[in-house]
Amino acid sequence: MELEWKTVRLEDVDFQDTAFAIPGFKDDAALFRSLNTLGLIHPLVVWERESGRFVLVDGFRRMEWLRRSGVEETRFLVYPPQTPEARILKGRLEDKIFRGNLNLAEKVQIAARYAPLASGQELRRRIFPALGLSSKDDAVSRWIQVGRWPAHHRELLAREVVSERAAYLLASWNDRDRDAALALLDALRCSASIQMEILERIREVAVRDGCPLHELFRREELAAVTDSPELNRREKTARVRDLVARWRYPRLHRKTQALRERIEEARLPETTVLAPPPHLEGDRWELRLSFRNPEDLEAQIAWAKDFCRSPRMQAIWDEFEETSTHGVVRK
Amino acid sequence: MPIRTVLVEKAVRRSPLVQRLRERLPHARFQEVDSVPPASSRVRDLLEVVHFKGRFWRPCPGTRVYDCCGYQILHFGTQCTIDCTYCILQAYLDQPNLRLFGNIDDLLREVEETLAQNPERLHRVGTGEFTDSLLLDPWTGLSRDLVPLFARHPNAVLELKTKTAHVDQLKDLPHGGHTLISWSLNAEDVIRREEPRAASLTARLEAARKCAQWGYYLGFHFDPLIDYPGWRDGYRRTLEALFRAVDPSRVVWISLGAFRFMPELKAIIAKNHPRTRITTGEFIRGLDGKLRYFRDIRLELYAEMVKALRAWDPDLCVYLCMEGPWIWRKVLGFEPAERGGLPRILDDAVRMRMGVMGGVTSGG
Repeated sequence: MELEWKTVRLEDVDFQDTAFAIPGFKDDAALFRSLNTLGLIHPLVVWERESGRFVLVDGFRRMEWLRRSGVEETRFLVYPPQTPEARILKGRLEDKIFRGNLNLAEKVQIAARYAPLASGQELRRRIFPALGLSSKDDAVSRWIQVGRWPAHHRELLAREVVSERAAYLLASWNDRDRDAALALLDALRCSASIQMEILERIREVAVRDGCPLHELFRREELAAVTDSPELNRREKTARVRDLVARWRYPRLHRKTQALRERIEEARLPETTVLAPPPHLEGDRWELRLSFRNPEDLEAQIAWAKDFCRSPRMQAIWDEFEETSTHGVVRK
Repeated sequence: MPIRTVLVEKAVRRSPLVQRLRERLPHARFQEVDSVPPASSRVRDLLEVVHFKGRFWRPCPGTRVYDCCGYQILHFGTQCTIDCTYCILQAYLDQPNLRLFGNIDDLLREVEETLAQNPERLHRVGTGEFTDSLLLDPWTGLSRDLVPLFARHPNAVLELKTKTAHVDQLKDLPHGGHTLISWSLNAEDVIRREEPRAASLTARLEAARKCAQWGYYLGFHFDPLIDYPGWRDGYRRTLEALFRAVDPSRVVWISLGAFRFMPELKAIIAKNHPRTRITTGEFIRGLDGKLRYFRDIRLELYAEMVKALRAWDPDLCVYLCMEGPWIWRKVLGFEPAERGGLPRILDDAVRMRMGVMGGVTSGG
């Protein structure tokens, strides 16, 4: 079943048939500029599904350029009619895999398209490593799920709005929940680690409160931040993180916030930083002094001595020690 | 206990443990193998009996930051089928099945030798670290070996920790006051949601009452304490049930430990128990790297419990499991170091309640 060279009229190619399409959601403009300058370098590939009627196998964006350029016919590499469709698809997928430079959307689509054509072992041992996707535990099924997301979700993968880790987490979410999560990530465009932090915390809040995920993503408080015309993306991300932390850790957030307020109220000198134990765990506070010379240090130590006996320090300390417990129970 | 298959390594096929299992599990299929093959997933009705080549007696793995009880572990098997959602054993993926060490004679010899090497020292020894102490005991009869052995040693006490009500086999054993049977207790809401295969609270307390009647000392472990809506009422009701069930003079100690877990366990819990909410509490990364409730929550949990326990018996040894001195001070009014360290506090409880005397306090 050798590929043959044939001159094919574009009107004989079925553009509606996307059986072999693996959209990369890439910007066409750069490619079109190149084609305008140099013309076609690599031939397009079609399958002559039935005599005289063709299905495009490879070159979807280039075909679009040909159409826009008013080209009526061109030379194609043609799979003859008797070629099995599965074999053509497999060849197409292998070519995509090993041509490289794939974005995440393309990788997961290839994974999903390859799944029915290969054994689980081949997927795990050959295809997934070649794609650079994890094949551990249930990762294979997860990436295949991602590859079957609707096009507008896959496009967000291609545009790197959603990180690989976040996509992996979202793989098992239903369409409605994922749609809400992706809308938030699209509004923020934050780093992979922050995406994970936000998604995991919201998921945990949903589990804790027995609340549907999409409802959390559509809370007014969140929308007020993401829809705000005054805030840029970085500011939105900071506000969303703070909001989600408040939902996820209400008491810890309240306590940390109150402690921060007491420290601000104490109006420490600019050369001084007072820090409670990280996460309020343990009993090691830090007081950092920066100084210019020994006299300055002496003055600051004198200030620190006064400060530790001051009502301002006492207020900070009381805030830290305060809990709603009924006090120490002594034997 | 629906054990249907017992996989026995040939090296231990003639051990007393395997003989007892054959007698007491007449319907189970016994299969002998050179060595038990590694398993990647749990087979619920399978019991593996292997020849254990490591140390049976080992110190409890404590940490530098949080105060450890200085417990000695007697390692007789691994895994548990009670399947509590929070169980650390879920992280032992390389060995998911119930497993017993068949070379029980080696275990008993090691106990004798260790106790003989340190005759002046008080040893607090437990078997419930890597499995439940009594889960399989009606079939293994291990308590028939261990309880009399500890009765013969003036410097050692044995603690059998369980969430079962498997105590009838303990009835006539010559324990000599050297064994305490202890139960992990929790609020009934927590038992229902997180320990659904364990004995009910009522069954555990009834078993404790029986053991006390047979002269055993008792211990109770409120670990993990869980912060959930309604925890105050939940734990109050459990404490009231405990107070009704047993005489505090039989209780050697009660430990309190707020839920804490290795970060890696979170994903495992989510996978094995997708409906649990147990990992959605307000956890921070503690100084030992484990996730634990932030301090105010722990303080509230502990203070409420300690207040009730002190009212029940002001002399009862109540201790905090894996907590920092700053928490001890706020909850109990002192730090362990002020009283010689937690191991010393527990040794004193053994001496005072059980009358078991060891010269030197056990190590931490």
